Amino acid sequence: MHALASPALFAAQTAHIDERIATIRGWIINELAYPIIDLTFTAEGRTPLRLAARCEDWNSQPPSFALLAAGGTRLRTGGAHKEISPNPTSVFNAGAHPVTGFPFICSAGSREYHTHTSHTNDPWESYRSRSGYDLGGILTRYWRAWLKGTA
Amino acid sequence: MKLQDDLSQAEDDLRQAETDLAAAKKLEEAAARKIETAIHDIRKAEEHRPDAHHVAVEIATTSGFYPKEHADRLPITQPVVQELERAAKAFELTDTTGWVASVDKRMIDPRLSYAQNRLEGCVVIDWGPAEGGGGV
Repeated sequence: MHALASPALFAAQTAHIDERIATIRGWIINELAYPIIDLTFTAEGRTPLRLAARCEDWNSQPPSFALLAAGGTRLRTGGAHKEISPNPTSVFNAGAHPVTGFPFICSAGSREYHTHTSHTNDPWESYRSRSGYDLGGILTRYWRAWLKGTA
Repeated sequence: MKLQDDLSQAEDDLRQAETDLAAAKKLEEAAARKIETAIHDIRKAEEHRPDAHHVAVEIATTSGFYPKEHADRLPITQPVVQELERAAKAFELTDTTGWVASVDKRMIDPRLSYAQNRLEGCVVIDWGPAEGGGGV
């Protein structure tokens, strides 16, 4: 992706991720400026989950997601994280990613999924032009996965 | 002399009265325009207001809201999918296979009508891709 094209595509795909949709979904927008998307998912009866995505080289590369507590502390392995529990879709993995060593999003669209040794045969290249794998689509997928754990 | 002064004063008063009248007419015209605009806005709002047989519908996506300006007033018997199709066209979405719709985080069935989905009043439908699979 050209150095100028990536920020332009990022801007186009995040233009409508604003307070209006955030209010409906229970998202808190902490930061939204290339290359960062920092959102907190909230829902009644759930411990909020904060996602910090780095989108350099979007969309040649998928975003890299860090899973955080609402206050900004990165989730580490070994703990029982209420932020990603319950996790009926298994999209959120509390184990150590082989590259980052941190809990990660184990679903198509995250860099951690496509670089995981178990998924190198499922490359981002086959998703990047598919419907629902723009930035808003990816965030929506993970939000819906997270919501599935809500009673 | 007094008669001359009185006449002059009367002419001044008349000019002032004419000026005041012109200003008052302008204010009256401005007020009339405001009333006209307000009536137009009220009628426009009423066109989109839900009632026992209609819902006011907005589609929320990460590509924006449909319609842009105001909710669409639709029959409660209309299948939800019809408005989703209009939104897809507006957003130039060519493939929405596997997308899901929810209202207040409750999943709805777009093939069914608003009434069958137990929707009434002002409805904001959150529409987008479903969660993908996960797991190592």
